[in-house]
Parts: sequence; C-alpha cells; structure tokens
Amino acid sequence: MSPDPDFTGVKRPEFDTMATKHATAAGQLADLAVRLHGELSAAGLDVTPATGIRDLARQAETQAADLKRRQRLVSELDRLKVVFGTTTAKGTYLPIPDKLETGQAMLDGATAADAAIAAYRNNPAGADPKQLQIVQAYAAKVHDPAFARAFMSRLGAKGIVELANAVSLRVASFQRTGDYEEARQAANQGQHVLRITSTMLAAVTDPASPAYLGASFLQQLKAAGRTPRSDLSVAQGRPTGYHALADVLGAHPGKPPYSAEFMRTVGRDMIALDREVWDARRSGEATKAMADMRTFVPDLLRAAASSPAAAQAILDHTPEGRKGTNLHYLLHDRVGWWTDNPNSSTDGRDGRAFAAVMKAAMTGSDPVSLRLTAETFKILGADLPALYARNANEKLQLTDQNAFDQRAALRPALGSILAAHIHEVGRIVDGRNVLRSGVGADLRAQSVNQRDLDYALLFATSDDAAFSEIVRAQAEHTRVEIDKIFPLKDKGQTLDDPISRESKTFGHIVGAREQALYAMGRANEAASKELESMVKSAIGIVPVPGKEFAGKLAEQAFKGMKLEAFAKEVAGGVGGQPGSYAFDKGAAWIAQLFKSGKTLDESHATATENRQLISRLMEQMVATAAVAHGQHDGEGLAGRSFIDKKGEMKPVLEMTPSEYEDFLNWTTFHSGFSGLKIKGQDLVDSGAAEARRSFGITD
Amino acid sequence: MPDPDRAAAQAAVARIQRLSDEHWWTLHQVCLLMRSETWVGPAGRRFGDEVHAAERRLRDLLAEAVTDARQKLSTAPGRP
Repeated sequence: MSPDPDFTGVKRPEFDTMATKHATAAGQLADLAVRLHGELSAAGLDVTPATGIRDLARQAETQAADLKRRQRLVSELDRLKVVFGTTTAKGTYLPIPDKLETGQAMLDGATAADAAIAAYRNNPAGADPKQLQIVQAYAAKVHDPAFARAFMSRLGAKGIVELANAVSLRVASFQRTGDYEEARQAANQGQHVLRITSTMLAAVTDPASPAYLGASFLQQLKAAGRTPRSDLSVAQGRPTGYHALADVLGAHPGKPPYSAEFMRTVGRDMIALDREVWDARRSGEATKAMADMRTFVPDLLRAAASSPAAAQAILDHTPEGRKGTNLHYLLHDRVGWWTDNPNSSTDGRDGRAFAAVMKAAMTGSDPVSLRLTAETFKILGADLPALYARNANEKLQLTDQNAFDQRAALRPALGSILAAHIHEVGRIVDGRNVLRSGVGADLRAQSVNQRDLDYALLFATSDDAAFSEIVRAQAEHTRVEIDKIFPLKDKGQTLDDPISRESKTFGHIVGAREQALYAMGRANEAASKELESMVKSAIGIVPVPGKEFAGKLAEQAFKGMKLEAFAKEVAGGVGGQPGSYAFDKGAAWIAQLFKSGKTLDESHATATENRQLISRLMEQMVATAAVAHGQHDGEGLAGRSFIDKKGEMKPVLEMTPSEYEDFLNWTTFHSGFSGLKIKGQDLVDSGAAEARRSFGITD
Repeated sequence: MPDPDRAAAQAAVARIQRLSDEHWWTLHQVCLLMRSETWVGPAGRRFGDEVHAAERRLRDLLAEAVTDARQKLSTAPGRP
C-alpha cells in the first residue's frame, strides 16, 4: 500500500539524514562553483558552467535552510508527541503538514494545551494563574484550525471540564476567604481562558469547520459531561462535568457559532440530564447532589443562540421516552428560570438567553421555525389566560404578577417572532388553519387559533418595543398586499379583500395592546394619547416608499411629465448599484422625520382614535400605490410644494415632511380613489372586538 | 619537445575533469533518499523534482566544462 495521495509526512531518521546531506551538498556546490570559475577563466574558457553551478548552489542553500526548519519542527512535533508514526508499505511515516506554518500552529496548540493541563494539575485548589497566562498568550491563534485541533485534541474532552472546574475553584476559594479583589482578577483571567476555549470548542465540534475533530470527540464530551465530580481529578467542584462545560459554553463570544451537530449531541444530552434531575426533584427522589444542582441550561442556551440551526436543534426535540418537547419543558415546566424582576436574584441574563434562542429558532420561514412558533403560541395560549381576569369595568386585569414576570423577558423575542410571521398572523385572524404545532391529540389541539394568537399578542404588546415591531411588520405587510392588487381592473371589488383583511389584523393588534395596557395598570395611557402616539411613531411614516416602492413611484408616478431624470436618479441608483440610492437615502430620510418629531399628516395629528389612524394610513397607502402605478389624473400639480420651479416632482426622498404631506394630500384627491369609501375603520373595530372576546371581555 | 603552453592546458583539463568527477555524485544521495519517498506530499514532491533537475543540470554543466576544455586542447597549437 502506498500512502494516501493527500498524505503528507516524513520518514525518520531518513529525513534528518537528508537535511544534513543537503546542507553539505550546498556547501560543496558553492565551493565547486568558485574553483571551476578559477580554472575556466585561467584557461581562457567560457565561465558559463561555473556561474550555472553557482546558481545551483544558491538554490541548494535555500532548500537546505527550509529542510533544516522542517527538521526542527518534525523533531519537536515528534518529541512532544503531537504526531505519531503511521506505518505503510513504504515505511513508517510521521504525519507532518505540508506547510511549515501549519506545523508551527500545531506545535503552538500543543504547547498551549500543555499549559492548560498544567494549570489544573499543578494546583488542586484552583487553576494556576501562570499557566493560564501562557494559554492567554495564544489568544490570537484560536481561529487557526490547526492550532484549535492540536489544542483541543491534546486537552481532550475531560481536560476541558477539568480546566473549567479549576478556574471556578480558584475564584471560589478567594471568595471564601474574602479576597474579593483577588477573586475578581481570577474571574477575569478565567473568563478570558474560557472564552478562548469556547471559541475553539465551537470550531472543533462543527462538521463544516476545517478544525472538526470528528463525531468521537462529541461522544467524549458527552461522557465527560456525565462524569460525576468524584471521578474528576479535582476534589471539589460542581456536581457533574456538564456544570463545568456550561461555564465554557456560557463564555462563548458568539463566533464561530456552535454547530447544530454539537447541540444535537451534547446540547440535547445536557437538557435530557436536566430533565432527569427535575423529575427526581419533583418526585422527591433527588439526591443531595441533585438538590444542590444549579442548572447549566441557561449557559447552554447562551451558546445555542448563536445560530438558528443550533437553537432549533435544542428546542425542536423530544428526548426518548418523553412526551413533551424541549421547548415545552423550557417555556412551560421551567418557566420560573426566566424571571426578571427587580426582586429576583438573577439579573435577567437567563431570560435574555432563552429569548435569544427563541428568536434565533423561530424567526425564519423554514418549516421548523413555523412549527416551533405554532407550539409557542399553543403553550402561551394554554398558560397565559390564567394570568389575567376581567374586572368590573370590562377591562383585563393582571392577577398573577409573578407568572407574568417569569415570562416578561421573552416579550421582545415574541414580538420579533410575531413580526416575522405577520402573514400567518393575518391568515389566522382570517380564520385559516396555517400554523400547526405537530404536538397534541388532534388537529384541533395542534392548530393555532385566534384565541391563542390574541393571547400571544396581548402578552407581547405589553412591551412597547415589541408592540412597535409588530405594528411596523403589519403596516409593511399591508403596503405589500395593497401594492399587489395593481394594476386594477375593477376598483371596488378587488380592493376590498386585502383592505378588510389587513384592517382586521390591525384591529387584533391594537385591541390586544389596549387590554395589555389596562392589565398592566397603564389605564390612562390605554385610554388616551399614549396609544395613539405609539401607533403614530410606528406607522406614521409607512406610506413612505420603501426601496422597491420608491423606485416604482419614480418610474411610473408621473410618466411623460418631464420626470424621467428624477425617475432614473431614484430608481437607477448611483455608482452602478441599482436601488442603493433610494434605500440608503430612504433610511436617512426616515430617520430625519423621526428626529423632527413631527407627524407627517395633519389628520394623523388630530386623530383621536387608533382606528382613525389606521384608516387614514390605509387611504394613504392605497392612494400612494395608485399613483405609483400611474393611476392618477395628473391635475392640480402647479404650485404644489413638492413640484420644483421647472414643474418637475422633487425626489420623494428629498422632500421635507411638509412637502411629503402635501404630496400625500395630492395623491388622495388625484389618484382616482378620492371617492372610494374604505371600510377599514369598521374592520379595525371588529378586529379589536374579536380580540376582546378572546379575553372574555364584553363590549 | 613538449610545448609548455600545451602542457599547462593539459593539466587544466585534468583538473577540470577531477572537479567534475569529485562532484558528479554530490546530489546523488539526496536524490536517492527522495526516490525512496523520505518526504511525501506536495512540498516534498516539489523538492524531489527540483533536486533531480538540479542533479541533471549539475552533470550537464560539469560535462560542458570538461568538453570545452578538451576542445580547446585539441585546437591548441603545437599539436604533435
């Protein structure tokens, strides 16, 4: 058998002999060149052969220097047992990388790993700071696959656990003796080493990474994680290896992300162990060690949040022999973990970690994201109603503040999830069965219904930012839906469907928000201006063309009206980047409108009800869309503030707020839709009423 | 009687021939080690190719020097 064509390596001691021989040969050739030159020139002969040999001597010198560097590297890699001989029919080879730098990285990785090992072996009471310092010195190399592979394969799965344990022991021992400054320094140093370790661990456990160490390493991590502390070399420490591994996971800087493969093997096993402990504690069978266990799950979640696939691998799984998914376990059984209130002992980090995992797992448009979203709505639809009650004024009242606080940190993520699936939200409002959890007795139990959705909205919209995000998503969805119906053939009929659907969805959102404010004791805001200004700031700028819309408006709005130059400018882009002009300028323009603090439209400012605002928004969207599609009479433009001296329309994105308002007003009267009676307002009301019915409130 | 110039030229040929003989095998051992695959992989292969080419070139140059010297001797005056 000859070595694999990709195999690179050397035979020892032949390689050493060769390095020595070639150095000697180089010297002999140099000497030859000089002597031959002397003979040839003395004999009056052409000296070309001598100069040719001089060139050969120089080449051999360069080669000999390279061989010498390699030889030194080979002997170090061999001595430190970073590489081991492998026997083939052609002899025994040491596998040595082709590139010198790779070999050097391997050597560095091994040296750093030896320091890490020494750090936990030298001092049973905690990690040795001098050895940790050596590890820290290699921080810049952690993204080098050869370094990471060498470091991790040498430290080993068990070594990772021992190192993390030793780091935490050192901090704890300073804390016990009251040396808080020392404890702080030890924690900082330890955190840096754990971050380094975590970066490399993510790489070597990712099958897509060149640093991947194979499936067996993941199995070794599981074994090390399940190892009880009595079997670890340190006498004290955390109950299991997973507790120490969690420190490494919790220190993850986010890049490279932990792979779905890591979460499928190690991550799921961690949750499985946690669920075993939870069972034992609930049935009173927990050992002392179990009862003392602080959970490692939040740290795992911090690492799982770094990619959608990793987050989904954790949540979208039911351990063997169990009924509930991990999502159900985390969002229902262990909901107490996520508590974030001023009196809680946690600082809200854990809740934010779970929220980040939910957001990563559920804001995509893939089937797993949709399934998890459905299950989340079903869980909340079952759990949330108990938190609220109807009061004498037919308003919702929060009756279980503690249960609310447990979930409060999840609201921003829930807002993003609702916004990401705003299309499905509208379909459910429309009575369609479009989100199915896949868990539950029958189709009915699996399907997200309007009531589930309204509770999700009620809970999410109690957070101002989440409310704003949902309203924006719904406004954007409306704009797209309205734009889709052009060009119109039958004005009356075609417009009805999208407008009624979108209006009703708006109704559910603002209806839920209103009750959310009542429930939180913000009744004054719910009843007055606050709600309006929230809607205003969220949707007041929506008829503003987005990237695509601005382009279309420019291309079509005033066809044949000397606006070609303007059209090209906005739609064609600048510097060969189509559309980027409109997009970038648009963002800046919108930001400026926000800054000016003015609402765009007089009727926005005077609207006293959400439904009026939304209705006005609908009209403007329809009118702007109509103009964008060239459906306007083209009259009444003279003297308008948005028309310049040459009679051309100013670029939309360069209009001032008042010019834009003037433009909107013009579109309303000249788009051919001025007479159109949009029924949006009634439908917003009916949507809000539907939401109130979901909450058991009568009008 | 022998021409002193010619004798000198003959001695030069001999010295050049000796240099050639002495260095004919200078790169041979390394070539042999590479032929028995002491170092495998792309960098090793490159080195093997280079050192074999260098050996051929070295021998060509040595042969050229010897031939040049002999030729000069044969065209030199005072031929017997």
